[in-house]
Amino acid sequence: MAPPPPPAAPRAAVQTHAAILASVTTRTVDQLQSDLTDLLRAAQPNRQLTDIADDGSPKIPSLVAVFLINQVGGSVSRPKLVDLSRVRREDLRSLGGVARLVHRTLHPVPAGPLAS
Amino acid sequence: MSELLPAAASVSEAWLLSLERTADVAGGRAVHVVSTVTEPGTEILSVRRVLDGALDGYGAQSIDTVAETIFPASLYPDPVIDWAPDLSAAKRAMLDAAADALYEAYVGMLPMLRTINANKSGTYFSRMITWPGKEAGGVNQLALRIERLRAEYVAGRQTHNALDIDTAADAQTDEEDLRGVQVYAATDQRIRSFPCLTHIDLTLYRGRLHMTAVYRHQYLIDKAYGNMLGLSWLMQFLCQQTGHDLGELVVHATLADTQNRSRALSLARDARSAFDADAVVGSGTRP
Repeated sequence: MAPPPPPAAPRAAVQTHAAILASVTTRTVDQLQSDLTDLLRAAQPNRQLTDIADDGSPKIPSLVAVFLINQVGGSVSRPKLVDLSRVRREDLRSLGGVARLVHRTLHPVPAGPLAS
Repeated sequence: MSELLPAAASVSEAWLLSLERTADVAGGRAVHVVSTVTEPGTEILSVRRVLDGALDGYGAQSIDTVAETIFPASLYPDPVIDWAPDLSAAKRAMLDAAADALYEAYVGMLPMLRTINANKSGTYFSRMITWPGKEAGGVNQLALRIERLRAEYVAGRQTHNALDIDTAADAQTDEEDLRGVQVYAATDQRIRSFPCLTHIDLTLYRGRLHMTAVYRHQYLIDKAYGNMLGLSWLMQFLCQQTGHDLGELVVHATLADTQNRSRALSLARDARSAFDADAVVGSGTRP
């Protein structure tokens, strides 16, 4: 097929994914990017991550970005971890973008006090 | 007046012909624009670059993103094996597992994909693999077609035109009656928006699998190229999974829309220049 190769997602890989994401809620953005990279390599061993996005991290198809976010959502029991209609398109273009999006979602900044 | 365009080898040229012809019409719209790709999946990269650059310039979805709404290639773990009746059990299992992995990955993502307003009623691909497309557990039309097309192969039947003519009926039909791929509900009363792709017809003729897709309203700049590419990938997937050879792709836009005629004319000029300067790349002949 012309399209790119991806995930051999056998049953055994599911546990691997869960293990990779075991500490997802306590990870920094950089650590998350590393975890997501590991997860993607486990899920799609044939995928090349050589194309670099504007943010300096590997470029990925937007559907792969959604796949990764969905894996994180599964690991924290939030199948709709993000509302895709509110996501910036750039966040779905790279591993760094996904890592930042996931981190923002898992660690929302509380609104400050209203000015009086 | 209908516009039956000359057959083109590549997706890129077929798209360009449809854009040029429709942009020539006053108002930038035409009815019954019929495009033919003789080598589905083949592209001319310089043409793609021109269009992707234009799409990026005004914040539209990329060609690949649109194509993946029809066939999510980035989720398919292509085993690089073609189905054949004498395929070993191990290789057949790999081929089936690859398709299952695609279906499972996509259905698993469906709740999140449906957070997008345009996907509330499901996506094209979810309608193909879990009709009616809103949740897991629906009819997997692709799996049923693959099973039937393999049976046709085994039976030595290389021509089967009873795969056609399914105008808007329920996909949950008698499995003996092989139909096209249903993406449109008979009860759907919307006149625009999703689903613009209302039907996919599959025809097996002399061992080649052909496809016709009907769009009721096709945006030629934002969607048409990606749609043709996604349909090509879908054809390649079906051929790989069933052992049949890749046939022609025909796209019938009952209303073709340039969206913005002056932009379309400019884009068509740029794409034509790129086309004239480049060569065909990619392959419409399989993985």
